[in-house]
Amino acid sequence: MKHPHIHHWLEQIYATQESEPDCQQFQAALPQLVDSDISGDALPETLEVALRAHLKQCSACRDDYVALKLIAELTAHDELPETEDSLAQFEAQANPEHS
Amino acid sequence: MNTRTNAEWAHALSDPPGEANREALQDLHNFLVRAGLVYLSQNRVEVKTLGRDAVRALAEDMAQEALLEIQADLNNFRGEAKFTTWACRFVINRAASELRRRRYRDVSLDGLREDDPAIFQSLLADRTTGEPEHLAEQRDYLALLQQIVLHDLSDRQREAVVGVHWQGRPMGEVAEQLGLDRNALYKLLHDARKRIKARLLIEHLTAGDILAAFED
Repeated sequence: MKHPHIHHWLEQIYATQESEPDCQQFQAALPQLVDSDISGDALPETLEVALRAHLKQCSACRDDYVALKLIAELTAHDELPETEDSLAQFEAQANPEHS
Repeated sequence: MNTRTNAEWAHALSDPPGEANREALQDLHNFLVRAGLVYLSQNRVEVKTLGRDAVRALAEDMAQEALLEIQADLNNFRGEAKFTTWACRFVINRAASELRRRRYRDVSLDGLREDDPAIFQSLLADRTTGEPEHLAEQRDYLALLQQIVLHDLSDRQREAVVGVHWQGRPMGEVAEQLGLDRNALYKLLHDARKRIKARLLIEHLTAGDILAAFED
């Protein structure tokens, strides 16, 4: 564990609250958080604070948040790739000499 | 895909079998396949050896499983988010679970049960550059953290802390190795953080004191 990791871990320790939303509670509200980020419509403050606190503590939920936000943004802008386009991209990257 | 409001999605999916229901299911399935492929494209390492047909089959399977879960959970959709965002979470969970299974099926269980004191000794030994007073302060704090982790945490809490925070392993991997789901691992880590924080405050160490010692 190197310097930045110790620092980050200590930040997480001191940011710990007696009661925090767990992963299930966070996951239930995750779509709301993502839509709020995309639309700019604020969530109730206590909910937003609790969700952001969980995001700082949980790397797995943070990964889900990033993934869902990417897909929701693509969907909102009507830019979600079509199935065949995605598959063609997979194929091109697996066989770069044939692309 | 037809553009539907939340109410239209919920209504069409709840309809008895018929054209509207069939069309909504097909649209949702197609959307979940496309969303799943975007997820896979962002986590390509685990699927890089798969050919086009295998990737398509994987995305179709994930979408089908997600679709069944969505139908079973439809009564819990309260319209607080867009339906497509809400539905997308199911295919992400399916995909993450599948990739985790592929990623960690060959990982050894031994890593989390290494000799904890030895890990801490190596951390202390790492600190060899810098001002002697600063290094001594860091070593003192690390020794205190070692004492807390070794003596104040339960065995399970210690294994979780070692895996996630000391070894820097992904939570999915550590959860898999401890035989826990992610929520249980989060609770274990939360309880561990609370104990460590309480002990540090008993020692009158505020965040400012200890964080400053590890600033770059």
